[in-house]
Amino acid sequence: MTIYGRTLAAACVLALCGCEPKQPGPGPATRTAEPARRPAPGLLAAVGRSARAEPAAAATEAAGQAMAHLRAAGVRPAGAIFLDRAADTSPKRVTAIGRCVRRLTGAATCGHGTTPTGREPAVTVLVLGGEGIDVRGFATSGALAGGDPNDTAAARALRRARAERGDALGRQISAAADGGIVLTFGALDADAHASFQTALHKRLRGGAALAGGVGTRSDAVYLPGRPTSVGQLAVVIRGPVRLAVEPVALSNRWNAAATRAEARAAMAAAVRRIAPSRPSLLLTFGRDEHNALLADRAGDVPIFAVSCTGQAGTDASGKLHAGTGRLIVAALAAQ
Amino acid sequence: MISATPTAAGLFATVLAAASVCGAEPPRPRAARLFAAVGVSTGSDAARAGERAARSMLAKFRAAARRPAVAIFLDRTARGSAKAGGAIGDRVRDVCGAPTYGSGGRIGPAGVTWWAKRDREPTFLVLGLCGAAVAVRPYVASGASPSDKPAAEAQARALGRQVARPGRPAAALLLGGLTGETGGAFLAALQESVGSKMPLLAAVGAPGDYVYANARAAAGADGHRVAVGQLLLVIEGDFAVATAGVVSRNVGDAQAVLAEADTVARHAVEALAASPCRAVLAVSDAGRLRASALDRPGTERARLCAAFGRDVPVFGCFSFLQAGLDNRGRFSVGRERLMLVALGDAPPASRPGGPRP
Repeated sequence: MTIYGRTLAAACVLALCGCEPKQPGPGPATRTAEPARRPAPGLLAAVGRSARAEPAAAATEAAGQAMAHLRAAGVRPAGAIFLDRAADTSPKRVTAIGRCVRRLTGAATCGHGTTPTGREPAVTVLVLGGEGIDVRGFATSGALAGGDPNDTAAARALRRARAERGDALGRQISAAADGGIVLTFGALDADAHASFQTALHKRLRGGAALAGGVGTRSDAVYLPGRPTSVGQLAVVIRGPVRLAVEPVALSNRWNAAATRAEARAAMAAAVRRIAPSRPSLLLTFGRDEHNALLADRAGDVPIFAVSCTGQAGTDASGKLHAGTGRLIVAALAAQ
Repeated sequence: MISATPTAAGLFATVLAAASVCGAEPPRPRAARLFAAVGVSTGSDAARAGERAARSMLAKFRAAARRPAVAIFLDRTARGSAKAGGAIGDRVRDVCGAPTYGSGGRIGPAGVTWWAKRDREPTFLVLGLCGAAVAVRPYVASGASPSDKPAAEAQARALGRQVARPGRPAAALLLGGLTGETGGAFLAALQESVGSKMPLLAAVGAPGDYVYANARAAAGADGHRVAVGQLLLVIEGDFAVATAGVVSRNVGDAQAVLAEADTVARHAVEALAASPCRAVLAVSDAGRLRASALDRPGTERARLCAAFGRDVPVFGCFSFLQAGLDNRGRFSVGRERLMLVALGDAPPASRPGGPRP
């Protein structure tokens, strides 16, 4: 067995044992990923993707692809975000992927696992690097499942719980530092994630550009130093970077031509808003088929497509758009 | 002294006036203006609630010395069935004494009417319309909700093909139950068939909702007048039609949701221009109601009434899926929408018997 193989096997054994090296952090619900390592000039983003079924193999392949770009540019990674799409997403699987990504990138790593909504399973890894760039993850744990749909009191209590969850995540982020770019992921009911996103945005006092979405109620989130569990994840990117978010409420997603036109217009608007900087990364939060409409439109700019059933994003005036049936397109660039 | 002998000038004026009278068109009967009223009743017994709502609506018509030409109802009292729906619809029809159409089904996830005092309160809502040559043409697509997108599109196109281009101003209202994904495909395909003829407004409930199309009037019940399926009502007459709609920016923000209701209503009022609004058909999203912490359907309805006028009846419900034309005149289908069609008096120039340019 090669050294590489032995390392991989060791990682798998650790994952199966459920072991995770503990790291210092502010508390069980607010563990932050490790700080960025030696900074590199500019902002560089790279995305790797693998459709392998075995989690460690998929993570290794995807992270390897992304890291190859950073190594070629001589840039050290500042943070990594991974997405796992699998029919059997479980905390154990997500932990195994997270450990592999973290080991290969050597950077602050966080991510989440969700079940695909039609397209094939895959692991996607985004690695960010650059001078002064700080990537940190914040998470809240526990599922917020829907109750009896005919019980008004239960629905109201659930809505309050979602808002409290968003507020709690916002407090964690605010306590760490002000401003920054916030990307949200995780487990929430698509129909009612807006109350979570609204509370989070309110707590950030509009001081952060926000883009994100939610997958299913059982999405698992990974942060080193805390048990991987069903929950919500916020990744905060700070440093000399800008994010232009273009939320679009698709008028008729059953009409392919209209949807394509709206999606492309949103991407063009996001790129226009980030100008004169050239985008280093494009992010899309939407349903698989809508994200796919933009896959070939990014040219040589890496695109990180997040499959989600509910979407949220701040527009140019800082107002939050949140709901379902939307497509959030964001452009990230160095200042 | 006053002379009794007619002067030449007087004679000329009399002859001129007589000629003028002979040459004038005979006075045309002035068409009755559009009149609408809603009746609402609460209670889990759909048949009794329907009867009470119909009587309440009828009382408003009597007070105005009018009679409904057509009645449309929304039954959100319980899980409906086509069998029960027939009896309920017939009862409403007997009370109204006019052709009656409607839809009923599950309260809860599929929504509540605008007139429920609280979320998930069972209500029965009846709209009566008369005057201005008002007529309703029903088209029924019966059967279980289509299972896939091609089937839904085929069913919608088949329904749309039956719809003739109306000779008068018209609006199409779709009621009934569909599932989410295929429902969207159904509505998008229906818009392609019907959208060029008239504006389409749709409120989609849960699969299994029943539709009722004037059953007792149908000679020899053919099994399609009361059915599980979709009902497309083409409402036409000598009235002005204005459409408006919006997709919620943030369904979690109650103030934003209410501000959008203001905007939509204002847009429709402006589109009606000088024509006073007489009735509003509006659909909103059950999620928009619940996620925004509004809880009370009346809160959003009150904002609409503030713009249209307190006496203007608002008919419709919070539904699972909505479709209509938005404020930019673009067809919009999906969730988290507020869509409406406002019916107003026809502009004077186009009104029969009214002043002519």
